[in-house]
Amino acid sequence: MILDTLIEKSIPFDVLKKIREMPSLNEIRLRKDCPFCLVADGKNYVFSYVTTKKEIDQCINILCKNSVHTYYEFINQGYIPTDNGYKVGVCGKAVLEKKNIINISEITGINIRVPAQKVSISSDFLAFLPYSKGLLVYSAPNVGKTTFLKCVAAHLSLPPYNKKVCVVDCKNEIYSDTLHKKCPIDFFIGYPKYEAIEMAVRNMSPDFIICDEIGLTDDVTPLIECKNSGVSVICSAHADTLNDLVKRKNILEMQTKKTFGGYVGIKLEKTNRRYTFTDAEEIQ
Amino acid sequence: MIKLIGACAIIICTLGMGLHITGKNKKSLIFTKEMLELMKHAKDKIEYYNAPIDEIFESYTAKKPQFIDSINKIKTDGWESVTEMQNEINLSKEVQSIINEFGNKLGKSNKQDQLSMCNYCINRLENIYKDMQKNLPEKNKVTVALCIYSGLMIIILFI
Repeated sequence: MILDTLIEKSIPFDVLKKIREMPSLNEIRLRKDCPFCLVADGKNYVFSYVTTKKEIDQCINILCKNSVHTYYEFINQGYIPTDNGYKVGVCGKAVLEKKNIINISEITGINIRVPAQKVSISSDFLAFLPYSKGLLVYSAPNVGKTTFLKCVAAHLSLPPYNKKVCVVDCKNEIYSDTLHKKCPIDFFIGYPKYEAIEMAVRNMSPDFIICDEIGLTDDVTPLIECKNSGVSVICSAHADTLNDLVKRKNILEMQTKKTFGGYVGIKLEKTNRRYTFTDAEEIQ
Repeated sequence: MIKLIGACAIIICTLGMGLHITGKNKKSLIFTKEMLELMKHAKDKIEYYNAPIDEIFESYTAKKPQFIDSINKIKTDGWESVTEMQNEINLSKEVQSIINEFGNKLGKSNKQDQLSMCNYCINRLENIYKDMQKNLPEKNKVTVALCIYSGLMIIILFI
């Protein structure tokens, strides 16, 4: 398994040796004074090598490009943005002030999520989806929602669609240098979701707005307003099944206001992903 | 005749030495100014863009500064490499310690702390630079004069 240069540099050598032996990889999990774990094809493998505090600190330092000031706010929100689709989640001891996290005094765990090497979404399926009505993609974590959104963004911006696409990429997770470099897409990277959606609708006159990980109360109003303004929204949310998805209060509100015309579910079956489409009208 | 040639040679050598030292002093002044500009650039980049260190160096070297090689060396080998430049540039220990302190603390804390650290180092280095700028002509004059006098002393002693 070959990783991105920055990620390779950050990982302790003994961990890297094991990674190179793996044919595929989903996650690299490092914890302070604990054996490291690798997740491949949905299975969690625990190894005997124990990662030390020094190695964790060094890993964080490299992932932050030796510039903590740049990534400080992100670390407080539990992640470090990286290029080329890797998702780095961090956890540790939080320092609170008036119920707000103002610092992480010690990072004790890192989870590096490796993006899918090969994306195999059938072009027929992509062509079949009713994008103009709005879509909500759902799946359990780490199954491929963001990868799906990446593909849809590229798919809609290029011929034969040639649509004006705006991507609200709050965590710098959707933009991929390899996939989007030559795609005519407007990216709002690192903006707060609400402001980015409003700015995109007002200033960029998009046909579609693509947005990752919705579901919070703050997301509901801008997305409904966006749909009512005539801009279709394509989003993703965490849920294992469609039933679970519509049980979520905010998603249900958007469903009743007909923000999305259809729902795309992703399930991991062994090493393959299965995509299902459900029309919003079918949901009671 | 030989004595005259010898005397001239001694004077030329000592004068050359004097000019070499003054050249080093001038280089040190320019280098200090450049470090000051790099620190100010870093402060601006952190303040307005939260830029990572790599980006700060890249955007600064894009301006093609005079000591671009030294700055690239700092970027690759770390800020301690300033000490190794002592042979080329006659940097005072105080300037070296400020640069090292700046480098050691850069990228290690949040934005607010970074900015206050930048301001602290910039103020200290600015004061030193002003003093250096003020004293340099006099220092150079004294150095050249001392070199010539020492040359004359040698001539008096040996000839």
